[in-house]
Amino acid sequence: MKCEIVQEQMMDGVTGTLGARRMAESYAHLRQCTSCRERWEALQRVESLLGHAQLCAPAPGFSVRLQKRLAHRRSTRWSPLAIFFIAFSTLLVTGLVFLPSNGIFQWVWYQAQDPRSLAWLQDVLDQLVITGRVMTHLAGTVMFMLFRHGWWLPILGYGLLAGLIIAAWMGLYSLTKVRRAVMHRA
Amino acid sequence: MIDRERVWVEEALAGNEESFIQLADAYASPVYNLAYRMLGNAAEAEDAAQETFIRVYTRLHTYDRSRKFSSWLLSIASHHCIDRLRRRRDNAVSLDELPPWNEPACEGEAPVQKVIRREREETIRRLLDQLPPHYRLVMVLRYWYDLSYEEMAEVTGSTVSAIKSRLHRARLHMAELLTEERKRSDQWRPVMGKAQPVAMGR
Ligand SMILES: [Zn+2]
Repeated sequence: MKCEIVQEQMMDGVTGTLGARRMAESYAHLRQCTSCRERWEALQRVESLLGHAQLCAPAPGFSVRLQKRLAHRRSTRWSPLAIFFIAFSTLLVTGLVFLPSNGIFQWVWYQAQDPRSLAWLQDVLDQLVITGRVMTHLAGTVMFMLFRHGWWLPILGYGLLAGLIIAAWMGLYSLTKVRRAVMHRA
Repeated sequence: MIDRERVWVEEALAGNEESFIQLADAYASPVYNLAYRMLGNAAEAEDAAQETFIRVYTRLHTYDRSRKFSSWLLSIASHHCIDRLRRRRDNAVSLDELPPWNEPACEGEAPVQKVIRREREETIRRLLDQLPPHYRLVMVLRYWYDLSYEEMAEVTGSTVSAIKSRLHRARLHMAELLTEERKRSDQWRPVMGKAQPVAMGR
């Protein structure tokens, strides 16, 4: 019998699942082959070492510690939704405060330069109305998704919404720039 | 056990934390043991076992009731331990930096038995530590949980043939390590015997 075949069968031999005839054949080989015999003995040593291995238990009070950890997690854990709402509101407030104030300052400045440019105010109001409409519509859709599909879809929705609002304000901002350039030329 | 377990799972799903704690209590040893054999360290095993149960608690709604609960639980524990080992490797934390090893508790044992068990446990830990994580895992699942190849495949998320070959290689690897250790200790013994009188004479 070849060494490879014997070594292949050794695993079954070690776990006692090799048939009696094959076992006898393997033993015959082991008697005359030192390298296979060494391997066989080593595998048996592993088997006897791990064969009696015991389950080890955690220190007493494991479930009490687990209960404490669960309670602690609950008190400190922020839901992804809450984190997103906070991030989103911060973004929105920053946008609402910063960008229009920039625009308003410019508008006041234009008013001082040229009192006939009231059309600019009309643009700002139009943009605000559009943004408001989009926001209401998207918020409704997002709330609907929140109740149907869990938390990741609303996040996606609010992400899109935030992107849209930023885009709207950026549009508004660039509009003031263009207007300023036109005004300057005029 | 299975019936009680099913009730606990249902009650925990309904929001009863007490039932979940009872479930955790019933499985504390199997989960802790898996973590301990995988990580080789009592403090880290405790932390990993607790984390496993927290994951189980938060993912209980994803548990497929046609599966065995213990398989699902062991699979979460296994993945968590493998993750930890990977992080340990990425962060290059050496074993020396980890808290010291605490032997598992065994009550009502004679001192001689205790010494033998301790030595055996230490050998097992040392050998397991030298196996790659995936080999270590199949050895632990095979020898401590007596799982079939199919169950091991389910727990580890691989195929039966992959498990068989992994187990085969892991056994051979461990056999080699054990043989090397024996050779080393055989070389060491006579040297110790000769060196002693000289050292004492000085
Ligand atoms: Zn041979």
